[in-house]
Amino acid sequence: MSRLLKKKTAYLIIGISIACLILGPIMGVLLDKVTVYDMSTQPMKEDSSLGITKAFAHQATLVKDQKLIIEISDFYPNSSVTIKIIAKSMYDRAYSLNSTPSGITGLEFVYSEFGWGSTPAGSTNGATVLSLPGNGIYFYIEFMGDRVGDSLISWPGDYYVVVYGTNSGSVSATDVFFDINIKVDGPGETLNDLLIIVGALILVAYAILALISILKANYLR
Amino acid sequence: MGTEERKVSLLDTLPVMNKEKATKFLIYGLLVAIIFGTILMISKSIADNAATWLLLENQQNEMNYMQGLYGYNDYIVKVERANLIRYWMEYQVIIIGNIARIGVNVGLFFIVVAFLSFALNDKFDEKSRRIYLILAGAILFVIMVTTFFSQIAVQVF
Repeated sequence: MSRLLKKKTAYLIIGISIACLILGPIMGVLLDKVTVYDMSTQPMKEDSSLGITKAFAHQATLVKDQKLIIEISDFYPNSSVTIKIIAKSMYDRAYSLNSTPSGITGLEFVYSEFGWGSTPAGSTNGATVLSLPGNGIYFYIEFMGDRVGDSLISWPGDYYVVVYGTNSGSVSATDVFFDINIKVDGPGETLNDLLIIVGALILVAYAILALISILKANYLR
Repeated sequence: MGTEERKVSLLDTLPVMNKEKATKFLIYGLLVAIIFGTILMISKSIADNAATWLLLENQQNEMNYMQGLYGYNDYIVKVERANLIRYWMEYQVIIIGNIARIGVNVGLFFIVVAFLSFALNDKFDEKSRRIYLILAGAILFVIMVTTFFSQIAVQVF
């Protein structure tokens, strides 16, 4: 009997192929987005609005066609925050001068206002800056460098997510809080495609080789 | 001087196969034809239902967006990917269909050889051998027609 047709070999090859076919979609979902920063009740002082050195800043590097996704919310009393995304070069310059964050122009991003029955294009808007709770208390932001309409344009490079804010409470209350989750596109999609193709190819190749070896063993010898 | 061993090829043995071997050919031929035929029908069914699958995928995509699972640009990427998969679902029938056609023809060839062997086997009675020859000819006719034309169609007016 051909080595290919042995029970052990068949189980091994089919097992590997099925594992690839199952793992593909699982890895695709798990690694679709990679969280680079996640903080509930992120603390900050209100002097963050006076100088960028005190503001919350998180660096993210984007490669071509990679998206930055930020979920930010502000449900805390007396807290109001503003979010901008700026290039690293601009952040470094502003940091060295301790510039006022409100004076820096942010880059273009889009944010979605989800809801049942709302069309995706109709519920997406573009902005360079968002204030919470002034504009809303929760935002889902997508960023790639620039945008045209609601579609993002990929500008690979280093960026900073900058958040600054104020506390409208008593003079002694200077703490500002917000929730933030920063994610980037992960390798999920690529892995999903790769594993499914590999799994299917192994299965098809094995089926063809097994059929050939059956015919060979019976007739072509 | 030793005796020279003559190598017997498959083609030499084909018309003079014994009943057992010819039956084996018939069964394997049927098996191969059925397997490739089934693959072809599955492939056709996938292609025929690609548009319905796309509708389902787009609805799911839109509902996922409405739930806030991902944003507008992820939604657009998924729409584009779904379109690509739909085109592949329609195109795969060309690749798989042609491979399956070869497979079915190989299977039919085995069946023809089996029937020809039955027809040439003098252990069968004359009437049976004639029927086997007619069957072999009919299957050969099917192979020839499907080789030169896409399918056989019978139209009843």
